[in-house]
Amino acid sequence: MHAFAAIWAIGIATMKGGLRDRLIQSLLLAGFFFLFSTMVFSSFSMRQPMEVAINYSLATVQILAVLITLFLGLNLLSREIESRAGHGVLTQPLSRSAYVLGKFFGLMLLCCIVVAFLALCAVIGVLLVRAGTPNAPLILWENFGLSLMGILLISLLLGAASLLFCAVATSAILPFLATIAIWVIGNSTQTVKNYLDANIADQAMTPQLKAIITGAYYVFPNLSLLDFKVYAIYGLPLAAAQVGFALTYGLAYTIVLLTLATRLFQTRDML
Amino acid sequence: MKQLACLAIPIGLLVWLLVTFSPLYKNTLEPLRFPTYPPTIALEIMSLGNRELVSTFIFYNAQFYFGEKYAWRQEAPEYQRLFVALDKATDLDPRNMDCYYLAQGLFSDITPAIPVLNRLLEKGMRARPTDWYLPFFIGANYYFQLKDPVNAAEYMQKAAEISPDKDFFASLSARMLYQGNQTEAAIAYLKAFIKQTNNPAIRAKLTLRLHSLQAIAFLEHSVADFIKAKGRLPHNLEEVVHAGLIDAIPADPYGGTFYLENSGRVYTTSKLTETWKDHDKRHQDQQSR
Amino acid sequence: MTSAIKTSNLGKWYKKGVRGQKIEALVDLNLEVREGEVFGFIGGNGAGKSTTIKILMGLNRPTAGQAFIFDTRIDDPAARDRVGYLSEHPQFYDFLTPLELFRLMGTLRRMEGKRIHQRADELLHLVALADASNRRIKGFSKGMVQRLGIAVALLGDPELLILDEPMSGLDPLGRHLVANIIRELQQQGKTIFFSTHIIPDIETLCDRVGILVRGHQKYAGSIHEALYPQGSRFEITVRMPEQWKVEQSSFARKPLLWQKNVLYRFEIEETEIAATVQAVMDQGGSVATLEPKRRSLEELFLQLSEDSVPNLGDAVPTTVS
Repeated sequence: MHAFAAIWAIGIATMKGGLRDRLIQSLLLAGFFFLFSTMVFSSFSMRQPMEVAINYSLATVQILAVLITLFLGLNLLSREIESRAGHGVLTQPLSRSAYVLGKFFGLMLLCCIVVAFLALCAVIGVLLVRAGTPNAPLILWENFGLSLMGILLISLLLGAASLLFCAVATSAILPFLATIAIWVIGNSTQTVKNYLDANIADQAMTPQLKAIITGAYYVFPNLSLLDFKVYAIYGLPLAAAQVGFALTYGLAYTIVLLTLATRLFQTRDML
Repeated sequence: MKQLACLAIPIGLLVWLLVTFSPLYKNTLEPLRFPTYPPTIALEIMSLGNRELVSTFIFYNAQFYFGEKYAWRQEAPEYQRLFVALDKATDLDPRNMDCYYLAQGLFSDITPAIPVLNRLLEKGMRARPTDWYLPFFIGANYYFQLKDPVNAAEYMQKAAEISPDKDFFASLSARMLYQGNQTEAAIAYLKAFIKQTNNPAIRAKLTLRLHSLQAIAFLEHSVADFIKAKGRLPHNLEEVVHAGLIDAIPADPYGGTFYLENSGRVYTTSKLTETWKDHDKRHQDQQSR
Repeated sequence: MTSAIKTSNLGKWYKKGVRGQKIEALVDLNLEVREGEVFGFIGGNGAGKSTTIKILMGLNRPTAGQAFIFDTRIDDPAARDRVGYLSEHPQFYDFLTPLELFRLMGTLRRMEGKRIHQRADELLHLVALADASNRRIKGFSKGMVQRLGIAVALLGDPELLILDEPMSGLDPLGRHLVANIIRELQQQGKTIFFSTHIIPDIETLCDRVGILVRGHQKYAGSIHEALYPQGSRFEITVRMPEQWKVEQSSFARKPLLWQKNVLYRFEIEETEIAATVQAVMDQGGSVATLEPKRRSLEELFLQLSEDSVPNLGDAVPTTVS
């Protein structure tokens, strides 16, 4: 019971830290301005201003949510460990696991707040465009919501990854860079796999390289699975099984990262 | 007081600089080049999960480039690069209708480009099976540029099946198939296209063509009137003017001269393609420099 | 009686560099801190004091041996239930206010909300931060953070306080405050374990000390036994009449330490005290001071460091001339 109270307390403190962080605040403000510029951005489209508006707003939410997650990981996890600010909490009677889970819980609260805020701006931006577009196509809001859900899951997964890197790294910048690498790799494994499967690159690739890429495809998180943007942009039908699979995949991967982070934190010497 | 001076003097200097140098800058424009984008797979990886956004950016870049190059600088756009870019953009997001629309606007009057243009539009047809514009474009390209009415009819049929505007297709195919009047059909197609675009450069490009075609239609009508009155084909268009059926031969917006073929059809020496009088020389100058 | 802190053969070593050179920070530490005493943990820089404290607080994991706090193994978080900790350079979540920080720490210590508020109020007054209770810690000066650290350490009314160099970052006023707090807590029967290298603190505050030299414990016991070993000599300062001449007296054979006007200071054996005092009075003089000959801690350190340490050799760079 105490563990839950501890996780909750650390989570709330972490959330306060995130919301009081100037960098996060300015990124949120940037998001606000970006999303209200949807009207301007989509006005250059010849044939599909609505599609461009949804595309632009969801991409903005995704990029900002990921950026904010990266900086949260840097400021609230890596820097905390490097600067010993976490010692105050760690020397209290609570387990390392409670500390790790508390930090993740705080990160999760922050991601939810960030995505919710950006989503609100995005919806307003899209609605403004729709008001100015005659014969606007129907917006599939459920797909729009699912895209936001996917973005939230990507943020959580990256947050868990940065927690995992913090568990092993001794400098603040390393987990930050490693998480960026995970983001980049996670977005490209599917592309590279498709490229391989299409047999375009057969001549250029040795079987060893092919095996490495296939291995990477299964080891690294596949963030493309959590990307439902195109279904929202073009109002395409989305199968429930696909959504269920993707969301389960994202959650399971996050839990695996979190468990590993908890394990590694157990034996870690704090600086 | 001092602070005010500190602020006022540099601001004044800035204003003076802007006023003095901005016209200068306008006259010494750098040559405007369209970029060559990296391969699609690289673009896809660099997009970090925002393929559709990158596709939109490429389209915007192409659109703005074309607008500045064609409508403002009045230079020949780099069509080859534009096409490759739009092809990459539609590989990234095959549903990006803007790209197909721009491609049709840019390349539908360049006959050698039609086969690749149609292949691009086919990609769009697969990705947007309910969009009647794409088969409509392909059909029009077959008909007007490749002079292939069989394929044209097939695509127009597909377009008509998914289009809510059945009347438009009925009148268009009537013109194409029964009257065999290419000029009228082309005017109908262009009008339909122009009505849908909000891009001024594309509109200008197509309107030029429309006006030329309308002039041809006007001349062909007068030739028909001449035949009705005299019972024979005029020797040339001047004869129609002398007969008092029209006041004058209109000018070709492309800069060519209209002439009459033995078939009774009117053609122009410009062949309805834009000529870039100064451009080639200027371009060579820049190259040699 | 249970001991507040007990370690058995506690050791910590790191692998450093690519070749994995083994660096021993702590070797076979057997420490016992009894309940109710003030224990000073002394050592130079890099002696292993901070490592020991970090192991006790669960920040570092030992590579050998075991440690207990109130008979609970330190790898159980519950071992820290009754411990308050102040680090050498305390750092807290600087985005919080002191009150928010107390709420967080109190919750982690399973305190009730009401009790947290009450303690926070008391402690912020104690460390003179009551005015800053709703300001973000980010804007605090170094001394303020240090004082806040003391308050946080005392929040749970702990039975054992572990303080890492509590005096080092403080101004004289802060030092006075800490010394007073330590004395008061000792009177309340609390146990205090603190590391330091500031010598006056040790004599005035500690019951017992442990001395650490390069990861090895060299001494553990009474501070007085360390500084004033059994059978040691005394120093006596006497005031003699003006015409008195040392060469002509019975003191001629005694080692004279110094002489100033009529004041003479001699070194004597403990057994000679009574006879010496008698002789001074017989010769018309008086005793000004009598005190045991005191070893300075510096001397003690030096002596302990010179003692043969088996694996000292690789830590000391050899100079080649």
